[in-house]
Amino acid sequence: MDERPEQVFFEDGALDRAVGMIMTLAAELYVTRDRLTVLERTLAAKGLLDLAELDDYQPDPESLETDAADRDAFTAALMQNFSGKQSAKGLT
Amino acid sequence: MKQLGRRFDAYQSFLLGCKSYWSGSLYPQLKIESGDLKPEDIDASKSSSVTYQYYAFLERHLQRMKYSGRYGIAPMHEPFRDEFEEWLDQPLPKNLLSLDADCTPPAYFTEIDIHQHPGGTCGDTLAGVIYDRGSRSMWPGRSKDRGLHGRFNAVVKETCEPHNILDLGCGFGKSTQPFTIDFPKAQVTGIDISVPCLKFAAVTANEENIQNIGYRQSRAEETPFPPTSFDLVTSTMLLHEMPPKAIRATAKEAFRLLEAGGYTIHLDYLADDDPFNRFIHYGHGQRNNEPYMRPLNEMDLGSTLRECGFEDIKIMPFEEAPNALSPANDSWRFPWVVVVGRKP
Repeated sequence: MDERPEQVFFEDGALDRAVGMIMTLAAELYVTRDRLTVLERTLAAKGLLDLAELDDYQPDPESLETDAADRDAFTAALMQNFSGKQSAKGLT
Repeated sequence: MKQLGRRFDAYQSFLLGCKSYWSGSLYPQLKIESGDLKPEDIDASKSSSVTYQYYAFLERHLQRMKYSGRYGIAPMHEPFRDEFEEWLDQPLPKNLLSLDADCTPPAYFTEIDIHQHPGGTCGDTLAGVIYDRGSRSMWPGRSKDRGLHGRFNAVVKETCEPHNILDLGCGFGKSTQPFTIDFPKAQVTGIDISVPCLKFAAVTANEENIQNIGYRQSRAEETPFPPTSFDLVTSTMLLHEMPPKAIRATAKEAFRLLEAGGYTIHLDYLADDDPFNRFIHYGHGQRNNEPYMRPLNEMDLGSTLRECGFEDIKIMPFEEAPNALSPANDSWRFPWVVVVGRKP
């Protein structure tokens, strides 16, 4: 008998593992958000950051271009999964 | 209490938020949608209720994440292992802690890691520290805090005024210490099989300068104390971790240990006859690695006590937090009960 058996709750066990990943990512996102909040508060308390300035921030044209390229690379890598397209030649 | 860092706090806070939603929203939704589910339907993967599939998944995996996730209790203690071990091994006053090298934990307690606590509550030197931390964040209703033990002791007080208390399966002392506060004239003894938990309990009692307490390593089924040593033999959340055979032996031992007129009083879980309540409770036992939750529910505890010689046996619902038993409370909760028996 497996000492640490996996309990499966969905009709397809693949969903159990996928939802496990979603929960792990959500937890990590929350920890990062919390980190950012603490960072903002700490910097603001030391007078190094004006939160209003952060909210009202408008990038200059050069930053806009950099941010757009970064966004495109991020979304392409994410969305490519939905296309089913492969980069390497291989077996079916 | 040592801080484990902001990441730990944020991660556990996230899990607690998820658990609050699970108990306060998902559970009532499940009851409305699928209130006709019964113990035979526990296998969620075969259920047509998608809500139940997610309910069951989250019950299992929020608990797993709490203990073993990236910022879970077990891994987040590792960087401080040496510090905690040194703290646990500090010299203690004589008679505060008595360990027994011949006392081996029973197989029923070591075969499965209860609560999904990796290594269980006696498998690692930090098991008591981790168990204590786990008990502080388990339930959104904070039902496992000091308030719970105070409320239990109030029920005890209505029954008797003990002078010599034995707390069976005392773990890290969470139920034992409150007896010293609510019964300051009593001598309180806690026994458990877990050395890491007993060390935690004794060190904590020493730090809080509690005089009327002592801890000893022993199984509940067979203790080293002479007959009629106590006037109250009690346990809190112990019986559901034991197979029926061990419960029967424990009840017999409690009878031997009590003086005439003494009481045995246990705080534990027993679901009522409602099939949905049993379905939820048995499912919880399975998903939380507590295999004896169901056998306890299905045995006749009252008859067991009677067969041992106890009289005036009562099994009463227990309100673990204000308004917990109110019909307006539709959140998930444990089916708490207090079990009382008197030795004639």
